[in-house]
Amino acid sequence: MTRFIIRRLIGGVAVIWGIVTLVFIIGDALPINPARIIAGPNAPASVVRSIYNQLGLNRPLPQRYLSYLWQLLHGDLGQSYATNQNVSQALMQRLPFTLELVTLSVIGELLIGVSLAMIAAAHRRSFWDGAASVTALSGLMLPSFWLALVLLYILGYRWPIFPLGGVSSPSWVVLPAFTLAFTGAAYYTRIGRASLIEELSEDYVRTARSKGLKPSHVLYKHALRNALRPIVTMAGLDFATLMGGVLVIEQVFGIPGLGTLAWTAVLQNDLPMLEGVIIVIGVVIVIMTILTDFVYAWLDPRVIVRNTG
Amino acid sequence: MIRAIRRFPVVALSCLLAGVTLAACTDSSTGQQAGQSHAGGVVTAAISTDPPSLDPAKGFDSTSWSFIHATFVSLLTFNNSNDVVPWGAATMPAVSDQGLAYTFKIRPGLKFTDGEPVTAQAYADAIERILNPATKSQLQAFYEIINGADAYVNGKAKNVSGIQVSGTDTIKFTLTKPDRTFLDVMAIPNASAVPPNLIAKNSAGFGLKPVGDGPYIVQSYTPGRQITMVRNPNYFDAKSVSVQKISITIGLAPQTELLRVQNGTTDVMMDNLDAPSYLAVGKNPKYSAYLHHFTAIADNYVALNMQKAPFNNKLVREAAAYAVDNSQIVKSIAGMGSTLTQILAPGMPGFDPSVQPIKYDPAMAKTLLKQAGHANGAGLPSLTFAVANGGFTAGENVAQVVQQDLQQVGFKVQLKVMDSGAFLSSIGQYPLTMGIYGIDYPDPYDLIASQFACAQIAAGNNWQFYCNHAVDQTLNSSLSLSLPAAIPVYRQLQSQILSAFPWIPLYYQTLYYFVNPKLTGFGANALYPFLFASWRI
Amino acid sequence: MSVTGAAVPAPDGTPSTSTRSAEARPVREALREVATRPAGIAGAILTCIVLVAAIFAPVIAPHSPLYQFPDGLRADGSPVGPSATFLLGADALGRDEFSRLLWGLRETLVVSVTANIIAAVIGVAVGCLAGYYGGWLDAVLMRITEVLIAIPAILLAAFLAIVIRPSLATLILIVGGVSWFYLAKIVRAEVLSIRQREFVSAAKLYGAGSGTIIFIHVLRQVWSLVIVYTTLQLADTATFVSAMSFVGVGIQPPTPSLGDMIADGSHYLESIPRLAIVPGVALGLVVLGFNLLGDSLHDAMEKHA
Repeated sequence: MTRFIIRRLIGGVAVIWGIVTLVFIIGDALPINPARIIAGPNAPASVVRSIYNQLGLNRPLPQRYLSYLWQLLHGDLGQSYATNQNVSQALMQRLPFTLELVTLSVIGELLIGVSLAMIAAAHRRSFWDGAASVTALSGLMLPSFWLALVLLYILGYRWPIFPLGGVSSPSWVVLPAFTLAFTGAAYYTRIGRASLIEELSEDYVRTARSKGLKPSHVLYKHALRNALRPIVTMAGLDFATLMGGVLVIEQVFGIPGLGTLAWTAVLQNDLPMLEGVIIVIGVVIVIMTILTDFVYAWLDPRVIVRNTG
Repeated sequence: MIRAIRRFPVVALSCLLAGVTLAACTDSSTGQQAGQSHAGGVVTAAISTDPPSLDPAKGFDSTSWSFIHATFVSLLTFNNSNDVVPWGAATMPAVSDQGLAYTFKIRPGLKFTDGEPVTAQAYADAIERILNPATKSQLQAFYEIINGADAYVNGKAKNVSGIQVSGTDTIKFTLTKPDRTFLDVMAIPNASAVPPNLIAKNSAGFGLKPVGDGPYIVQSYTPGRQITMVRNPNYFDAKSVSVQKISITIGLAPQTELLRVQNGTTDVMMDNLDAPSYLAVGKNPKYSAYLHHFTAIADNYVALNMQKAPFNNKLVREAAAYAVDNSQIVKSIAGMGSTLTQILAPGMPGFDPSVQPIKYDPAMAKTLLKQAGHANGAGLPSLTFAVANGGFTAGENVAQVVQQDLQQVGFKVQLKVMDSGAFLSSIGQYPLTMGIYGIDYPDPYDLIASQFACAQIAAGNNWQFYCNHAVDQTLNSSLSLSLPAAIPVYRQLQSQILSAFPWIPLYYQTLYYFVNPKLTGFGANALYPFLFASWRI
Repeated sequence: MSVTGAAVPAPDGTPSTSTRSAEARPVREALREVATRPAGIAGAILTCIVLVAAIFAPVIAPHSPLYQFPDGLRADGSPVGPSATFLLGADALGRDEFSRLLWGLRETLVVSVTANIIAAVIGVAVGCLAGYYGGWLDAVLMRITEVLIAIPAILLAAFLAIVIRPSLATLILIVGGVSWFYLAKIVRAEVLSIRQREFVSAAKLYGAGSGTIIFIHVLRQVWSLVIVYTTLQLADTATFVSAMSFVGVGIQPPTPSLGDMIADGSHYLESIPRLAIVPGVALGLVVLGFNLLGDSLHDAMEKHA
């Protein structure tokens, strides 16, 4: 088990290094001149040149790359071109909002998705199967940003049950998380249902049934645990997708998270900030992926054997 | 002078709506008692993006100026009639040396909220800070008229010789040549003193934690989240300031802001209404008391690149100007504006109401194109039309209307929407550019010179690349004239410039703001959409 | 990010441990199966309608999607509602909403389909290479995949869009470039399990030069998986493309796209709701159609003898 953990952690570090390097390469390749951005559009060329040198942009590539890595190791993500804020500070301020939103969204997706899957699988091919699937599908049909706008208008303005955007009260997370959960649940329903149906026709289930165990008991205790495995895989990747997809939702609801930060950075050509956001999100995703691996291993210890052999 | 990609183009005076002037205290009609500061109320507001900078050396758009004007005291300022009046200075400066020297006496009683005194040296340091290349201030060019500024900027002098301080309250500026706009330049919020000790410790980060001497104190500022301002009891005229606290949420979409003001959770929507929002609430009698509007003193136009084909040919430029349907343009901005007829905008001294807009005449446009040798667009390549994006969707919509109009007479046009950074770097590359210029101060020289002087090509404000040395000379010599004497000169100049068809004139925008009627004194003057210090709730 | 149930590998990529690994049925049989179920029929019909509308948009659309009618806007600048000229009303600039919808559908589908073809090619290639050769190539490819997964697609697009809103080709490349990860993992898992099963017998039959034959065999096995996955992915990509237009990194105006239309329309939610609802529903139908079809295909293929 320890070997497994270590291997995964090393893999994780490698991925983080990959992210950081890719970000550096793209940032370097972009045809914009950071010195020009900092100096402003009206500065004379001499000022631009001196800032360029000040920033160390005139050094050769390997040197810049190494100093970039060195800074990162010290947690220094640079200063924002636009507001001159410390990037790491700004990111840490915003991260909790995005994390809260994404975590609650994934939980919501799981709750909605898996319950619908259980209903569908338990009543296979009956009306309830269809009903559950259609419910899930309707969530899929609606683009999340579209649903977000509609919910905001109806439940924030027309019948003001929830705050109209912003994060001023603790219930700010409900509408955005629900939007993401509802539109994303269908994937879990689909796999959950397929997976459960498969498990339910496995030998051990038939055996348990023939022993007289109630169907629901079988369902919850055994089949579900095994059926959860693909769901776990999915949840890990889903977390990753959501960390990025949350950008649009944050914009609609005006949530001061990493998404809106990234967006402002794009509009202001604030390279250090954007790179910082991408790196932080990347790190969070890698951590989540590793955690997912551990959960999966707990559910299916065979994975450990395969991975350390 | 500066090109401002203004998110909120500057605002003209509206004497009727300006309920309160800076010198309100003498009038006790609002129940204020002399000597006692009346402080009351909390105002909530929402804005979609951060003000670009709260640092007097840096902010130069109308939103930043509103904040700086509320937190710092400049030597002079503009009143609601666009006249320059003393503020930090006790009186208007003494002018000597045939208009070359201006001597100011600082009024007593000014104090920074960190306890440092506001001295003449503080003002001198502030102006030098703007000129200092290390500050990277975009206002630098404004103050280069001061003697010795050039040497200082180029590193040949340690201080600006034209700024002389004597005692704690006297400061004298010497200019390189007579320039009546120097008073304007000392009246914009950037010419405010900043606390020298704090600046010495951290100049670059001052905008995040500004400390001033004005009507309001920035209590807290979290970029992207909120700004909170509280009334400054030590402001020398504190009794004219009413609202105790202003709480601004940053980051909500303008649409959400509108909904919030409609349902009462927010008092002020700080983004001006765009076309869809205006259609939603503009004609609704329920909201008529919520609307405030002013015409921005700004030009919206399409810059035609005169140094490249095909717009180096006057006939082609003229054709483009006749091709565009002005009334359709105004419709596409939901009627929030009127057709642009000249360089000077309504509200700017010298605006000539008798000038007619260019007629919409596609037949004429086609004839002109034919005369130029491009009948029906023959021989013309596809022209790229650069448009800045960045929340200013009206630009994209209007651009599409222009595109269609041009295509109907034979031009082939392709839109290229870019973020403002890329957009600004692309100036000069493309034949067509969506342009907007908002004034920096209410003097006609600003609008005309910034956009049409030869030197402004290099400075980046002359997007047409128009260059006429005779015009330049007239512009330069006009600075030594008084304003009333200069106006006929400017009227003649603009007529001369426009007869060369350097741009396709589009519109003057009327800015609409949506504010809960329980807030009075919203008013605005020529340059500040948000006169925080005159709000009452 | 859709997936076929039983074939889901473990997060680290090792093949699923289900003893009932899918013996994928031939596509033709599966299609016949699909035609017998209501969901499948509905999905097929919807998809067909959408595809026909998109392909024949130039013919069906009553007007040009770009032409701004002078009388499309009323005097106060508000767009006119549904009428004989404008079947679904006019948009904010006086253009025919119905025509724009058809062309927008076309645009979205062109990008989705092309991008997905590219994604399928890359995904299969990477998955096959990783699964077949294993070892360090596998490790490197999988790490690269993980790195790319960890950078949210829309941020990557935004990163690149700092310079300029992409052209159609760039947009397709970007979307294709971020949609292959999961397919690669699935294909790799499938290849791994095939390799374990078939390698010995194939090697016995053909001797040393068995590499290519195994490769082709692998492709044949994986092919049906790819079809199902790609069909489901189409819906996702359509939504993703719309999301990109929504935040402003989609195609240049005035070319219509569903995302742009939803984005523009969303500002009018209070005054003219149809501007946001109509394209939203259209996008929803596209997603629904592809999903129903893909689901049925998957169900049909998963049926075991």
